Amino acid sequence: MDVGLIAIGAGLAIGLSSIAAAIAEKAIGSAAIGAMAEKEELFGKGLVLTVIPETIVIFGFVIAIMMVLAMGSH
Amino acid sequence: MRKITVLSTHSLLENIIEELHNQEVVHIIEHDKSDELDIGSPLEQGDTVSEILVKVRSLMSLLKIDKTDSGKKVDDTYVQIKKNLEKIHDDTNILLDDIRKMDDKVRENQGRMVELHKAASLDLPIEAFHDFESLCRFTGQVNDVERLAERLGKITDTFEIFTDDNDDLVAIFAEKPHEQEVREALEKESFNEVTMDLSGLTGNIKAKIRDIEKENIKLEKDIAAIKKNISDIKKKWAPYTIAVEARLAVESEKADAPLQFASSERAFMVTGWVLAKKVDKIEAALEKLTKGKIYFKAEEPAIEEDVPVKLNNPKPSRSFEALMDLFALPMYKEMDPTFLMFLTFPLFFGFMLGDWGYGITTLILFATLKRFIPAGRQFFNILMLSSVSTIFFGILFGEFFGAEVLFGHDMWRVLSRGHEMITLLIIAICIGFLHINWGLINGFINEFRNHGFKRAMLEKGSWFILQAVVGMIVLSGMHMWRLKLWVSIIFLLIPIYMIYKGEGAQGMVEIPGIFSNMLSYARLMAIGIASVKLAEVVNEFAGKFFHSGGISIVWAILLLIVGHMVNIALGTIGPFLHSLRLHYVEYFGKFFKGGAKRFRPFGVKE
Repeated sequence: MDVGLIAIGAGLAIGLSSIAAAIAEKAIGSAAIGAMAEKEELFGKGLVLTVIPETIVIFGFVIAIMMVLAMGSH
Repeated sequence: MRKITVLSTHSLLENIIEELHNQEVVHIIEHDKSDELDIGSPLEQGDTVSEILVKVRSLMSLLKIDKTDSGKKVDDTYVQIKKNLEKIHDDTNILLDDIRKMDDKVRENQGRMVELHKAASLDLPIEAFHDFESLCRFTGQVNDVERLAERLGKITDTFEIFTDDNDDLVAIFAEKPHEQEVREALEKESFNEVTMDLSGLTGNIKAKIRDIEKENIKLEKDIAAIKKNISDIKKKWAPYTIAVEARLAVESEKADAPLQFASSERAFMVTGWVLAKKVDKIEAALEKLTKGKIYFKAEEPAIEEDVPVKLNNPKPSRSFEALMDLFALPMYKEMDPTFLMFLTFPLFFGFMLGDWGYGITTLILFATLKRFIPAGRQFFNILMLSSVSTIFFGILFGEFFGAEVLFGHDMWRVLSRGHEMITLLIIAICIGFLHINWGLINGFINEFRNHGFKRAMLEKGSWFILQAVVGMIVLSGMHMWRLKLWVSIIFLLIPIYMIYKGEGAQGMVEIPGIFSNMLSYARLMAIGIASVKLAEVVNEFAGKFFHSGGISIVWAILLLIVGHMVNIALGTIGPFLHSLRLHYVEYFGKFFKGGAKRFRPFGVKE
């Protein structure tokens, strides 16, 4: 039972953080494309700004891995 | 970089421009028009040059000539060039006009054919479809032809009905006075009119269709012949037009140069930036050219001036200047991080991809791509270096296409990424700690150079103290030693106050940021593991197929190829972007401002 809950928790950690990052990247990405249409040199900056929210997923992923590893000791 | 000012009289203007253009060392500063000093006016040949330039460019777009370097030189005079271009232009235009006319004719014929085909099923001469003085004609579809004939018979005796084989199309001819009654009769048979415009044509319909088809085939052939002529003209004149364009582009640049100069009635002034080591050379050249009839001054740039920069890095790291171009160029006298990126970027990339099988594949791939796409040379250099680092880390992690065991032998390794994730996570965050502190040290040096020790200590040094204090508190939390609560709070307040003094409210907001920045380096581990796991999944599936034997082996091989190709694609894009981001966001954030303009000497081609 506990193991199952931990697995669900790990899934939620990565799933929800991915959704959060996706929502953030959606807004940044469309703005970056808009800016690029005006000024093509902004590609580099746009690209970097777009991947900034990806940190949230990384955190979610790390938490999920730690939970899955904790699951083993149960 | 030195700011130079050159003053001379208008009589020497053209020669000086020529010399500046040849020397390719001066980045001209555009003069802002003011009450005292106007901007210069273009050289006198400027109008002719731009007129011809417009002509040659329109000709190039007309003939679809691409700008490639043909190596040809054109020494013709402007008059000759103009004459040549006009002749090519006229010749081409005549041919294009012919094509246009023929195209129109073909289209008209196609329209005619549609109309003729409509009428073709009725076995009537074309003249039957012209307008008559005493007869009215209806063509179209009706429900029942026999009933229609009955109805018309009640109206008049003089009418005639022609139908095609399937009674699909009918043509009814009747006397004009009965037109209205006939129409009413037709409507009762739900008449659906088909209009056809055959005016101007005579003779047999089917023969006419054949004639028009023949004419169109001939026209198409003629058009192809003319197109061939045009491409002959293109082949003959392309090198000439390209050479003319290249020469005139340079001349127009020279002719327009005075627009960037300050100018009075008799004299003009050029200001610009020159690399410090080139100042003597350009001064000597100008003195010699004008026999000393020139005023030349070179000075150090003032602090607030917007100095353009030219990056100067050791050869192996020069490709990484492309990554600085993507972000921002360092300001004059600011530390250029290109070399620092050269040191750490490939390491981060390799740490994330970390598979010597993938490393060898990408190394071969990018070396090949570099040969075929010379424009991306710098990026492929970066990626090739990153591939080498991937091979290195692949050996450390003992990974080959996601497999840890090769031919029954467990490979030598320092660390298994698939199994020792927590260790990997700790290593990743330690790398983050080191990298960010390195960034802070760079920032400290920058501040110390520009604003002295106190500012450097408040703005950057405070962050070191903050980390030390937080470290102490964490250790005490882990019961490694004892620290009273009030002592830790006081210790904590010291760096916070320093940060507030140094960077203001913005610095305060960033206090938690420095720790999340370090955690952000967890991606070094996370992205690596994602790529390992994906490779493992591919291998495992393929292994199952292999065991089933027979045709499944083909599927297994396909799966291995496609699966690893996808993983390599993801494994190149991901680590590249994330390594870049760790530098741009986490690392540069600690010391780099950037925003300078690129040094573009007058005369250097883009």
